[in-house]
Amino acid sequence: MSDDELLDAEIAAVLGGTGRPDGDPTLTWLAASARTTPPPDLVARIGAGVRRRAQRDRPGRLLSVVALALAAVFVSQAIGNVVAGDWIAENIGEPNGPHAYFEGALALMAAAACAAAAAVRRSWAPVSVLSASPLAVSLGLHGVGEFGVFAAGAVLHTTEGVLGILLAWAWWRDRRRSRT
Amino acid sequence: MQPGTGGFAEVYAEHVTPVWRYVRLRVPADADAEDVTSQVFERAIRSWSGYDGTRGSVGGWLMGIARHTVADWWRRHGRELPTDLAASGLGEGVADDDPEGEALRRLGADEVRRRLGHLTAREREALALRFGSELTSPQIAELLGITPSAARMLVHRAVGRLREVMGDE
Repeated sequence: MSDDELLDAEIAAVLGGTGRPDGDPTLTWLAASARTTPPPDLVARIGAGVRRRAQRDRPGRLLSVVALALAAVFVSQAIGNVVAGDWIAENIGEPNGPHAYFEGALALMAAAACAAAAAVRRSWAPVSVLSASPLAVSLGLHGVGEFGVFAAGAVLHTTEGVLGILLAWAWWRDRRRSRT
Repeated sequence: MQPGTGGFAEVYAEHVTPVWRYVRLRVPADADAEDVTSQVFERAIRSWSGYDGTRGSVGGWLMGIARHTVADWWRRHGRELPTDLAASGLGEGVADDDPEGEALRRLGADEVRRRLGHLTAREREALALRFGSELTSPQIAELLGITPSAARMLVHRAVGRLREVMGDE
């Protein structure tokens, strides 16, 4: 071992509390002198700053509720597609397509995750709005054809459309409030 | 550790002490160290979303911010230091272009900072990282952009010089 490697090992031992009692006094003194505790008021001040910042990234209640509601509706449609494909097909007068229903359900689950992201962090809300709102509004418009044909489908798609618009509005409102 | 303000609370709790200890060894007074440490965490939380865990440890990332913040502090406050420092006669054997060392020798609040003021800027930095932040030689090497063996040699040289300073007293 070279001198610098030996010293490095000795420093590691001193810092790790396993240094020899008859070890290098310079290292012992330097380690002890460097090991001071930060003043409690400094720690508290920085901690308060971190917490303030964390709260700034917390979305408002309305945005969270709308985002979670839209996610729940997407998930319920995904589950319905998988477990009640026959019933849906029968009510809308179309042939049942389990394969398409299953893949549609996977896509809806992904959209649900995107929508729910707005409830976790304010900074994620734009992604939620850009991905989930257009899909929700499109599903809402598509559901117009189910009025008078399939009540459950009409209610589901209308809810999606309304929540899609509400999500965009809640995000816009949340942004304005967070800046004031 | 992934970016997110929630995660930053854990980062702060774990790293406030090593950052404080590093900064304290680099500036003359504890009050200065408090200001600089606060600034380090303000900067860190602002850029937390850009932290990439694949490019290095969070501790190394924070120490990088701390190094820059200390350098900025010296740029701002170096001009405000007493003008007679250069003529103080305390800088024997030390490079003339090291106002930071001169200020530490003259204004250092305690023995350790006054003694570190006799080292070169690079040696001081290495010792502050090794003993203040308690980084390993490979971590210091990564921060300073040198090889681990060069980092070990730098610390070795700095400790040797510190022994001389203590022996001369």
